Amino acid sequence: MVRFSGELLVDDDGQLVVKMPLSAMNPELFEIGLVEILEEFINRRVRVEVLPLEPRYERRDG
Amino acid sequence: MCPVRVGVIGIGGRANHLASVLMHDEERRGDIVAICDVNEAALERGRKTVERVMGHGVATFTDYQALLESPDVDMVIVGTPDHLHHEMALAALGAGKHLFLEKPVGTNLDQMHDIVTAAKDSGKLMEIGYVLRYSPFYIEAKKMIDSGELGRPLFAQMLEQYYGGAPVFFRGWWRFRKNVGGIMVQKICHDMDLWYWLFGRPRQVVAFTSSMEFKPGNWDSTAARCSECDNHCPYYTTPNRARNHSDECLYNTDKTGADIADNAQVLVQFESGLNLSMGMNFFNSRGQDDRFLRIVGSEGEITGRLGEQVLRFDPRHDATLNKTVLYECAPGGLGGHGGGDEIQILEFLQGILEGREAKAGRESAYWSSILVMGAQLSADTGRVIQIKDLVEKYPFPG
Repeated sequence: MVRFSGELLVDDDGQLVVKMPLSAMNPELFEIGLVEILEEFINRRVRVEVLPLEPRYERRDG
Repeated sequence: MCPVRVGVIGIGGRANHLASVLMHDEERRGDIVAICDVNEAALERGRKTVERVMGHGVATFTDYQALLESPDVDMVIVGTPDHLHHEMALAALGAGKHLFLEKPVGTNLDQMHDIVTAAKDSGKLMEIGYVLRYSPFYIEAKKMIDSGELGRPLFAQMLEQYYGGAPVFFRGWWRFRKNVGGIMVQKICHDMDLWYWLFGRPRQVVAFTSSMEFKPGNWDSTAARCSECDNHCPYYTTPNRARNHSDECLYNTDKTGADIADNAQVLVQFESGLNLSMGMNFFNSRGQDDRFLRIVGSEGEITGRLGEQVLRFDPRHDATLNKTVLYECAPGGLGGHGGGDEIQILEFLQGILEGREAKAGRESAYWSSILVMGAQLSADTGRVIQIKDLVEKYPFPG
């Protein structure tokens, strides 16, 4: 299973990439191609569900 | 502003974690000045840690009464086993200390009522370790209720699955019911505090507990301990006496004396009429370890897992799912109990500095205990418990 979240973008080469951190310990964001993220599932049946993700924490007032 | 001078009684896992948060607080709202434990090795480790992190010495005690006599302590964290909470909470409040008491609020209703009454009479601030109120995940859920975004709450389901709870709760002091007051009192008083916070006062409660997995016959061994066992199960471990890490068999409870349940189901009806069900167990698959939430409101439904800090919102009448949104409640990397552990102790310290109660004070202590101890009573007697009966016998002290 793979689960990821981030900003979905089209890079300079026209490829879909997701801008996201590589680990919870490192907040730096990287653009990762969907092919790279999903390559272990190529040629398998998969379920893909994509939903918009909206941060609410900026509005937290404690 | 001078930091709150903190004494820690019981340097186990929970209190250690709280102390660590406090010691790394950049605003330095608290300062650990005294620690107490009957385990002298743990005490020495604690002393060295405080000296290394905070850069000063710390008074050490093996007698908690001696710590409470210290005029240099403003607030104490009581993180001892549950059956000691009553005695130590009363002593701490009686000594004029603010109190952070790990949950539960005693192990039965009599003890709870004594503690809440003592907190009121002392005029000191008390906070119970109900960390879920402080997790961004639940804070956002409450905001969606309070703002009307979710509409009127109509229905709720909760689930806690805790794979790692089995080795904890079937080894060490937790395995004896007399030490914890029952599995619900120990384990899901957290959640019941949350429900009171979200849905208000309960009307009636019914609950069932049982032992389904962790009992003799479910693993092919008759050993009392891993060190005596020649057929290792997935929970096999090696004991470390210095760290109170024991190796009692999770299955052979007839040998270890464990008499707590390994699962529970609770059904609560609130005064609003809302019906809530909750389950918990210790034998789930590891990949399904989490607290799960579903609240159905008149305008939509939220679902989510605490560990993910994401609430999915489905508008009530939208069949397309095109309006479904995932609300991210916090950035990644949160700590224990969905970040609640880190936030709560600092908010309590801030409250002491400002002379106000934090979120999980006397009212929270009272209503959560009425509900959870009512649920335990139901499981023990097979009756539906009317909350008004408990409130009449144990009125809120204020």
